[in-house]
Amino acid sequence: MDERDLPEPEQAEPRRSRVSWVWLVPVVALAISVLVVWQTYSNQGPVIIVSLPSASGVEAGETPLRFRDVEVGLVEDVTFATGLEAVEAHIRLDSEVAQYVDADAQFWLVEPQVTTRGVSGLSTVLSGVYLEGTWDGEIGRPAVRFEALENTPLSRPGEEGTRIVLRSRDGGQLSPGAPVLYNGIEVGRLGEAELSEDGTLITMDAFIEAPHDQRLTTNTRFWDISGISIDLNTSGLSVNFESLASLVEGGVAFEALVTGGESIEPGQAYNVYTSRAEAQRSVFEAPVDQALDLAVILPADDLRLVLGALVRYGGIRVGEVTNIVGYTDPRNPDAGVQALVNFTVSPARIGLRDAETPEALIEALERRVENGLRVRVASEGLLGTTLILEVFEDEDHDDRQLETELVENPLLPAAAADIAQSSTDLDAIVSRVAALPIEDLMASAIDTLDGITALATGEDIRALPGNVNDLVAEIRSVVAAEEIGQALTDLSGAAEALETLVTGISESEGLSTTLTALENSETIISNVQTFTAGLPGVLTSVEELVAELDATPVTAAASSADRVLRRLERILSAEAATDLPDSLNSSLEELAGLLTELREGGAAANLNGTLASADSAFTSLEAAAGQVPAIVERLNSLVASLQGVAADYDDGSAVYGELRAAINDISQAADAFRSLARAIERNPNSLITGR
Amino acid sequence: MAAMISAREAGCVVCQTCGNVASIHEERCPRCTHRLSSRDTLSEQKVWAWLIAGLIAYIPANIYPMLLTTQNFRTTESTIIAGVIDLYDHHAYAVAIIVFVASILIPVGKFVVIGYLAILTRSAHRTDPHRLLRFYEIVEFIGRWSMIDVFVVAILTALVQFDVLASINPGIAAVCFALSVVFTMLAAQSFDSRQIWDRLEDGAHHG
Repeated sequence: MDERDLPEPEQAEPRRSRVSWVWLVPVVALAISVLVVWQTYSNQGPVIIVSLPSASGVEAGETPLRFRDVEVGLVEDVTFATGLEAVEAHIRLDSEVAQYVDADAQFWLVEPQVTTRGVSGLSTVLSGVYLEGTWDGEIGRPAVRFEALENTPLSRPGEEGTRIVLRSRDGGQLSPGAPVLYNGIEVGRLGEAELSEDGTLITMDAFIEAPHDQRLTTNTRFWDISGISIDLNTSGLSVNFESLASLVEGGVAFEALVTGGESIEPGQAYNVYTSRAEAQRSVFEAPVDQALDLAVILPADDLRLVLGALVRYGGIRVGEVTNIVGYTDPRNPDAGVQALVNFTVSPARIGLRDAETPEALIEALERRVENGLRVRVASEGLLGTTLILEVFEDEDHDDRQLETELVENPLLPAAAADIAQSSTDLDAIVSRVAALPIEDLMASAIDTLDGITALATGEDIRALPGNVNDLVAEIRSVVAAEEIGQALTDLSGAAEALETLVTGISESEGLSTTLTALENSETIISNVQTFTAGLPGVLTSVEELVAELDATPVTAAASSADRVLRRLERILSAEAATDLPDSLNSSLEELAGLLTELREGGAAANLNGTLASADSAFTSLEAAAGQVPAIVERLNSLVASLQGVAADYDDGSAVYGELRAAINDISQAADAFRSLARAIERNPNSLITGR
Repeated sequence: MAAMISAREAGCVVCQTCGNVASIHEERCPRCTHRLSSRDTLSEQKVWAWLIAGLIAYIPANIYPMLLTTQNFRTTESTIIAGVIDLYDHHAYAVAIIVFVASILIPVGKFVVIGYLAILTRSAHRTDPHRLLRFYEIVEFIGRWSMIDVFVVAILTALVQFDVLASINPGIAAVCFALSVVFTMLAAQSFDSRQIWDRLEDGAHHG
């Protein structure tokens, strides 16, 4: 082929030794890849395995591990543990924290939680759950397998504070995370509540943050502040709740209710009392330190013993009732269900001091029971309504023994209850009070008051002043009556006639004159006699009048005033009445002497008759005179009564005026009587001599 | 069919820029002054270099996530093959096939074809040069369409941006994939198709 003859083209010298720059591209790409791969692997930490009860929301390649809210790892795989009992999350840790994740690291799952105290883990609602881990800053023994905690731990390593243990009988109100308050400020939180082994107590961890944990001493008391406390007493109704959160979630508060106390170690156990008052009481009841569990079987009927009731020995608190359950005695099934009361006792306080081992303790207790140690229900408190368990030495005990085999705890023999005394007394008092006819009494009182009201407002009482008025008018008319004035005038005239007679007698010389005189005197005396015979009638009528007056209800109504006036009356009677009869007597004696003279003067026998008449006249006069003080007295008392009545009425009323006048009149009458009496007293002869 | 003669055998060289046929002795194109060379002696090296770079980039493109899809606060990452499976699961078969072809079939096919051509043209071969040329043309033509996956990612990223409710972001694989496509295109371009004819064995010449 002619083409082949063509000159070979002059090719430029092929640059075979040259390497294309394009090779740089794959080299660089490779370098970058290698770098990336190397970096990835160098940053990759070890894989740890955290086992969880369930992988709720944990996804391989998605769920991060966080430490202080920083992602430090990722769940790479979720597998089952051998036996399918748990889920294992394989977590690739970041190399920078891997060395700190040692054996004491803790892990837990963070899920959204809505509680009364707020929403936590809100971010997990959107981003899904994550695992949180905590560990300290020290490198310790490395570990690969971990068990996840069921809950968020109470405290994180490194958080300052003190962990304590709280014991409560009722944990229903206390939820994990509930606050621990000190003077209303949250200083800690509660952990998960756990039931104790025998099921009688609830224990929970609590964490008190520093520096508040310094306030914890052996004298610190905790009490439950859950819910609302309503206290109704004499000072009124008080409703208390500490905080809204504690209302729903529960919580405890603490305070050192007495000063002193020693500082505590972490893990110190405290009782949670039901209220602050309860806690305060407990301060004065020394706590039971070392407890010996005992039991007693008591009749179940009317057993008002409550859980936590005190156990006393010789008045000292030695323990408390921990449990009460129904129990059928296998030895005596006919007795039916009885109450098995479990209680704790501090051995030292019942005198079991020396026993060191539990066996020795039981042995010592057995001896004590042989010597009569018994348990009975006793009452306590002011009203005897609080029941306690009393351990005591029975004087006349039977031969029952301590039984250690029958039930779980050593069984002490029971004695008859000692609750009758005080409560029976109280019952008696109460029944007596109940039996009092208080209602009848009240009814009577009401009736009486009604009667008084009716009386006061009644027509009778209103008519009373009018009656009194009439009465006074009557009295006045009596006093002002002619008869009295006439009587006095007659008396005066008689006295004058007597005087002239006596003068005539002394001056006469003839017997006939004397006889006429005597006859005259006889008529005078008979006049006097008739007068004096009439006088008692007047006096009697006055007396009756006064008696009537006395009997009127006015006197009773004015009884208080009456009493005062009676005193006055006594004074008056002492003045006017007592001496009067004596004076009259002496005057009559003088008269008698005079008549003797007359008889010796050789007077006729008629004189004797005359004198006998005179004698009887004077006797009458004497009797009349004897009644004068009584009349005066009566008049006085009448005046006093009327004054009392008058004092009860208004000054300006017409009745008052009338009454005043009447009283004055009576006063005057009384004065007239009194002056008459005085005159007679001063000069009894004037009655005869007329002077 | 008449015996074929190459330009080089005719003492000519074609300018790669303006298509002017010049004498093989010319250093530069008399028309456009572009440097003339009858054969690109570094072609083979370049092809292999770009091809390897493309392959290196293609590995992370498949390992790392192509799309970061945020939907209702949760972000999911999907690689190319996972995206295809997702689309298939959602019964978007057409789209799944397109993405599969564009992202996996074509790039892999290109690697294979370019590698095949490069290996074949190194030594004497008996393969029909027209078929090889056809292969080459197809590879070169189709190379640009490999970017379809990158375009999808770019468009989705631009369109779906509703923050936490729904948003799509490109992953690191998108960059790697784009680089891979670019490298393979460069590899295809670096291939000097004239070499197909250089090492034809006698007898195979005329098919």
